[in-house]
Amino acid sequence: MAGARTSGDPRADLLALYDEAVAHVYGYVLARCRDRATAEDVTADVFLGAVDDVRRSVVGHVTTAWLIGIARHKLIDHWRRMEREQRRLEAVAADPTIASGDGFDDWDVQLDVLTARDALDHLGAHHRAALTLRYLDDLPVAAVADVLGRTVHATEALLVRARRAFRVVYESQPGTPEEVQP
Amino acid sequence: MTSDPFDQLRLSDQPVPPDRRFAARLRVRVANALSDPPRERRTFMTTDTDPTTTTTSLVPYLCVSAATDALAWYTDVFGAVETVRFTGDDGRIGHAEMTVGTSSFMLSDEYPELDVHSPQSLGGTPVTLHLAVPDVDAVYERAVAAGAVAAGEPKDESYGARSVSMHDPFGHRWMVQTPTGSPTWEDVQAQTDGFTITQGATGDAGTSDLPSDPA
Repeated sequence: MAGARTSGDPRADLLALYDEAVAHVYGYVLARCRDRATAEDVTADVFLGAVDDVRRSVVGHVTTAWLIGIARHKLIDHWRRMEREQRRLEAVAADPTIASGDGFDDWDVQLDVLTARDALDHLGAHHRAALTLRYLDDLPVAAVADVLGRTVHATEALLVRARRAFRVVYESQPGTPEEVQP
Repeated sequence: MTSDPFDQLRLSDQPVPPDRRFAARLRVRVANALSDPPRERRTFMTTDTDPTTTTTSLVPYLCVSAATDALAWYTDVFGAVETVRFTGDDGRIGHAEMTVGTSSFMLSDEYPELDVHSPQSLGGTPVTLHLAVPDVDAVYERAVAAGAVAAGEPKDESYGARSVSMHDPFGHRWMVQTPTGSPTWEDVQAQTDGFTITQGATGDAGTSDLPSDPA
């Protein structure tokens, strides 16, 4: 099975890459949604989306990095869909403290990673997507803007709002340092 | 200047092997989607559980006298992946599915009360399962070492494949091949004595998942 990975035929390349790449794609998605069933759904969307791209001949080189790029979009699609389907009220966005937010950007705290991940789960899709791309994926703002289809300026503003929303949720979670003082 | 607390969220991604049955099923879906007729450009949603999107129209369903052993044998020798197994209260396997390469097949233990019999009970099989593999010689070596009875060793055939036929330990007959070229039927005819090759209609076989009825 191993061997010829770049035959020049993207269809053959995609199938040849599958066995190795599926763990990378699944690992990427699982680390960001932490739910096996969702991770499987999104992983399937990634590969079947990749098939669509290959069939439309819009891809040159079939690589794992390319698949991760698709995974970013599919994960964001998933969050948006989930938000639409559940018609979940975005309690955070309605929180008046976010809009004013004085002092919110001077935040010096050692984040508890698990609590932080729970907080991400409670954000709206656009905030979650922005923070995931910028901080979990460590993408530059321009790259985040590119994935989200926004201007850099709009993305910077979105990130500011997302950070504030995150902080509100984070600090309201049980177990954060503010709430476990004796 | 304080560091940004958000920097602590950065993930260093590690590959995580998904459930192997999921991975095997998805592999079949990817392979099928890649080989669909070009103009049939559907976007598959994972929420679709329509089984017609995950298998081809014709799938072999094997009856074996020792299904547990057969599942292990096809795994070890062909590199097949078991995707589901129904074990009955009586210990028999009532249904199991495996994927191999871009295909899937099903198998079960014997159910004589349902007129389901293995080749060993019937004294032979009239069906040959044709399996394409990347390295027929390697499969041949493993198969024979694991109890298959082959009709000779793999050899290059004029129709563009290196091929060997064998009976597995459960009595099923396999023709295992690795493609070596794609000669035209005219080329094949030129090297074939005793047979006249005629071709049926070629071209578009339709775009539906399901075969159309001959009207």
